[in-house]
Amino acid sequence: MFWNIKNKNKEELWKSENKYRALVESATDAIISSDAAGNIVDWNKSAEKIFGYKSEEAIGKPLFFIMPERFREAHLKGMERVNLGGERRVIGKTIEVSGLRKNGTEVPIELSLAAWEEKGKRFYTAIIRDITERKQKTEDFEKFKLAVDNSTEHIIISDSEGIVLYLNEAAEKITGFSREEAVGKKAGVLWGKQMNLEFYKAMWQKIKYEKKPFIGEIINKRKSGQKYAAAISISPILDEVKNVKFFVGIERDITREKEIDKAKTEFVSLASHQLRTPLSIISWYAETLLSGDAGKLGKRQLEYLREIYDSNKRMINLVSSLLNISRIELGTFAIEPKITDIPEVVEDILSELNLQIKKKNLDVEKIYESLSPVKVDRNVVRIILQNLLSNAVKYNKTGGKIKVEIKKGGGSIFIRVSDTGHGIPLASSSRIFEKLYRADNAKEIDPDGTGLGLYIVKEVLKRIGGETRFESEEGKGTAFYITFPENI
Amino acid sequence: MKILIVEDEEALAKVLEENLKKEGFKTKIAENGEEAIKAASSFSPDLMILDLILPKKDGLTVLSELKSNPELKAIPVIVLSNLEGEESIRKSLSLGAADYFVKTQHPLKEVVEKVKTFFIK
Repeated sequence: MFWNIKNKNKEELWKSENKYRALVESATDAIISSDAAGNIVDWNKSAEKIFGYKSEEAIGKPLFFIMPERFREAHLKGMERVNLGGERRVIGKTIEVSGLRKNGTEVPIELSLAAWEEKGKRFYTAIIRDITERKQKTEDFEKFKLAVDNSTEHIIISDSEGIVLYLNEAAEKITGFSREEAVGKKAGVLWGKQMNLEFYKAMWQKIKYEKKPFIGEIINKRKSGQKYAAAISISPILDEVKNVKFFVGIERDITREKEIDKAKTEFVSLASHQLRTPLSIISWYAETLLSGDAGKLGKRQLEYLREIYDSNKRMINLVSSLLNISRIELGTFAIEPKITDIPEVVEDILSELNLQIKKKNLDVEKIYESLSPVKVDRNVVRIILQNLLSNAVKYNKTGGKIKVEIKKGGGSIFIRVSDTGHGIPLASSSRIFEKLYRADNAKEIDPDGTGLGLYIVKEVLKRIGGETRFESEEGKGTAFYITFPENI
Repeated sequence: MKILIVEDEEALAKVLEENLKKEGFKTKIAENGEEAIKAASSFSPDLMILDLILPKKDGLTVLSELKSNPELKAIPVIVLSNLEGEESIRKSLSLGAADYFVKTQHPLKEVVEKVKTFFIK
């Protein structure tokens, strides 16, 4: 009976020993045991992996040989203290230290130390985890967090409904809301609602439904009520199944830039108005002289005076363009639709261009289809046609053709102005609507052009809900297509 | 036929006056808004050519005072301005201006022709 029990105990002990072995060997953490003197008595597979020593190399060696030099003294003192019954500073705790590999490199580890006794002898077991990856991740995270926290751009992270999850210091500063005040609330409610509904609709459409970044300029409101202008880019961050996890908004305060821009534009506007008086004086006196009312002029006198008159006219047009641009940029470009006879506008412009048309011997063809007068902004239509037609004349070849087609249908007006001129080089085609941009061949043909005309066309069209596009072949000609709604 | 030219820019007033005189009109120049109102009574013009940006009293004020004065409101007014915005055109026309010309956009001849049309009927 007694024997049986003893044997049974042995058997169970053996079983449990086996279980322990299996556990230790399969553990992903290194499990290392030492005796009271600090000599290694057990060394598992993971310990081999982490430190590079085989079990037979490790067993019997002192523990400190897997420690970097700088830890060894403290380790030895600590063991001595604990063995003498002193304070246990490390046992039962988890600490982060460094280990020393066989190859001499260090490895960041997390160490948990236990002390236990068997048959009156003390042993220590250390469970050691290689935390290289975790440490790297934490460091990366810290780096990114520091970068985001301290960025001078305002960075705001919200959930898919726009509820603020995070804002950095710059965002706190510009909005006036502290992190505590903002987190958990809707960004739109805190500092939004300064733009029209259409703007926010378009923004949400882009980021939430199309799941694409939205880039634009926005007016927001500080906690104090003061407004500020910002350039924003909001990006949706998607999960594995392409659902919006959260939004990251990056903003830059452009209030000052806007103010400078406005001051510049206002200056241009003022200067342009001031320029007009002398320009009209020159124009009217030259006109009076040309008419012969102030006495008959000789052939050369007339010729020179004509140059003065034409150059002055060019300056008048330039000032007009500058004024239009300053109106567009100041947002004071007024749209006032009224009943307009578009062909009459065309005729008006063609008669202004008549001299150049004759000089180049151009053939002008006009096709007007089902065109009763329509309600549009006459000024806008004039600006568009004036620019397109004068380009068609300017960049045409001698003896070339200009075709103006206008038709109405489905609530829209369609205008096509085509020429048989020099065309737009392919390399320039994406930029011709940019302010001040001029195609290389345009610069050669007409060095005096401003690069403002098509920019104005595009901008005024935008204001009446219209669009433009073009087809062109270098050396063969260009066709501009204009569409805009009637009755707006 | 008498025409009152309200224009503070001397050179412009002069060339306009000469071109009108050549067509046989009698003219007078008023250099500011206040003078314009006075001359409208004393000179009793058959037509007024009115600039908008004027010293002392601006053109739109002159126009509205003129049109609210029973004795003067019959005088037709042609606005001749550097302002080409729809806003000032609309305001001028709604205050009772007969026509609106932007100085830099129209040859002098066109303005004179327009003036003549007022006296053909």
